[in-house]
Amino acid sequence: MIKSLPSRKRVVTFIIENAVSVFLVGFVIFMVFTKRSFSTWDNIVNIINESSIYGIAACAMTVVVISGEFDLSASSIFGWSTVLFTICCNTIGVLGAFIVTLLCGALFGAFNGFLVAKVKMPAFVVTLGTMIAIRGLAYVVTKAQPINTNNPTLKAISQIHIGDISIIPMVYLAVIILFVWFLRYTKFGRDIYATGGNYEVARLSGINVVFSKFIVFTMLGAAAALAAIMYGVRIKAGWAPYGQDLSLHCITATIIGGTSMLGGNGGVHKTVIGVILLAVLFNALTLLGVSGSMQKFIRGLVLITVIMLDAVVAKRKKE
Amino acid sequence: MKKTGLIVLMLVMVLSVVVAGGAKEKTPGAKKIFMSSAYYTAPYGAPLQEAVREKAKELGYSVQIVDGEENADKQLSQFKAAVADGYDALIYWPGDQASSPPLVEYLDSTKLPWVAVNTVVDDSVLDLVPCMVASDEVEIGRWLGRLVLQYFDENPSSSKNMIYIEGSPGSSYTENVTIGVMEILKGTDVNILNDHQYAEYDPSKAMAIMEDMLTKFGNRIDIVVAQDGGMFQGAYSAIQAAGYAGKFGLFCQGQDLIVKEKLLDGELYASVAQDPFREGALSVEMLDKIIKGEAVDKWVPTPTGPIWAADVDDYSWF
Repeated sequence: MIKSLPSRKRVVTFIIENAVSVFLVGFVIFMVFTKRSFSTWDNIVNIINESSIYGIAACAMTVVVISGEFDLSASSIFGWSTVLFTICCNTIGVLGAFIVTLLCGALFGAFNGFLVAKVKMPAFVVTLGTMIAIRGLAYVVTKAQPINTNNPTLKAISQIHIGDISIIPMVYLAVIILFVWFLRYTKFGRDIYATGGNYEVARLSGINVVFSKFIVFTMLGAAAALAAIMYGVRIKAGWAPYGQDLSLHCITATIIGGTSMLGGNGGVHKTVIGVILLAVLFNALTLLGVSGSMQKFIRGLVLITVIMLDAVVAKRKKE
Repeated sequence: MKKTGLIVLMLVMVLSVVVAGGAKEKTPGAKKIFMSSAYYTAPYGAPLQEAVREKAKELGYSVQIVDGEENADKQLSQFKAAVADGYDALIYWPGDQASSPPLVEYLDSTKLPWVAVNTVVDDSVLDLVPCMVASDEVEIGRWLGRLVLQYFDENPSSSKNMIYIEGSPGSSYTENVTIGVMEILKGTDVNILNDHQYAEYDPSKAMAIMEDMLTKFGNRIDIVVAQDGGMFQGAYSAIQAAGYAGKFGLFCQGQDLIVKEKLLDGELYASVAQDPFREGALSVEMLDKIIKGEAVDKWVPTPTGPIWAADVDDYSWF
């Protein structure tokens, strides 16, 4: 009895601290036994594809959140980038489109980073402003019209598959590996944790906090553009309103994964679980025949539950 | 510990809501229809989707409708999940024309019966669509234009100044209605005072636009045309607040209840019909015919035409 109490406590602590993963595993088991179609290969590939595009931006959003900031404009950079990529595919070809779109996304991110890190403006105000301005720019350039492309190279790229997996999840996997390596194994990655954990202490200990904050926004701009390029590969179209829910989706996945909005902790590997959980949840709700209205309600309920869980874990750690 | 208990309770709630929500729309043994609606939460979406549910039930189908959130990628994933789950037939409400080709190509590749509804797909894949149930959007615009000319015939005025409030920039519906309006008004002496003013189907934005127009043009305005009933409602509120009610000719398209009320009050000159109930029901009727192997037209237009105060009982309102 005396021995079993601590081990029971350890199990409870483990479950609470890894609640999202435990919930995900439990939910997947529930789905496997409830809906046979859930565990078919076609559906698994569908979930992987569905989670990949926004997942790319979510990785970079996690880094921004770890640094103690957040970015509302990622959705507009995405929308703008779908437009730019499609226009460039129709004019200068896919390779040129890829480079121009990626650089432009990074430039927008750098602009956000400059205003937040150097000018010391609040990220909410800066990214709210750029969110409106960048989407407005996309409307102006396209005269508000959606555009598409029949570029044969793009079509060929979209048909590249390894097994049944398209190129998009492969790019997502590469982005995950890159960000995990960056945060865990580089000094600059550790500087970002320090900057998010305590800005003043990090600054006084010699970390270039301004550059850290500048670079995380730049990375998010580039990642949002890369996500838009992948959207272009899949859908072959661009329009200013595309990706309006991207920022919210990325922040949700980041929080659900377990990265604290206060900054200084978390990780891309956690966000990947958050992204998968959201994709599995959306897919499962559709397979279970849940109507669109009810799906919205359940998504909100899950988010509230996870945030409460985050608060409980934080309190336990503090105690 | 209380918080942990609450969290466990919420997780149980999530699971039970999922199970309960899933059980709701099923009819044992019935063929299953899946619909992805890009405009699930739009005012026009609710009655259309309700009509799909009712007609499907009437014809013996079970139906699931999900929110595509104007995201072609999401809609593609939803359809793939539905096909994996063994749905028998599909209804596709596209968000926009440009992003429709990959979805149409996928739907075509499933070899399942399917129809497109409301939004016209891209020309490049039009041939792959078995049946499209949609309004003739240009014709709706033409009717608005004809009503404007009829109004000036009945109410001669030295000036023929018009304020025109449009929906969303880039939306095929907005663009096509405008094409129809301009086709009829081109070469006439009707003068549109404003450049494109997009209220994005939002009554509060329409109200703000109308306030600006009243400040700028005031008494010079003769008529106001809004592309739907919600925007008309916003514009009307601004007109009323500024004391101009009854001084302008007012027109819109739509079958909202506010439109019906204003038609009966005599404050709205006329509306142009676009019936979401009919459109939703037609889409299921056409799908039913395809399932049964019967021939259907490639394009089944939703009926349109002017609605006058005397005719309101002939139409459904939402």
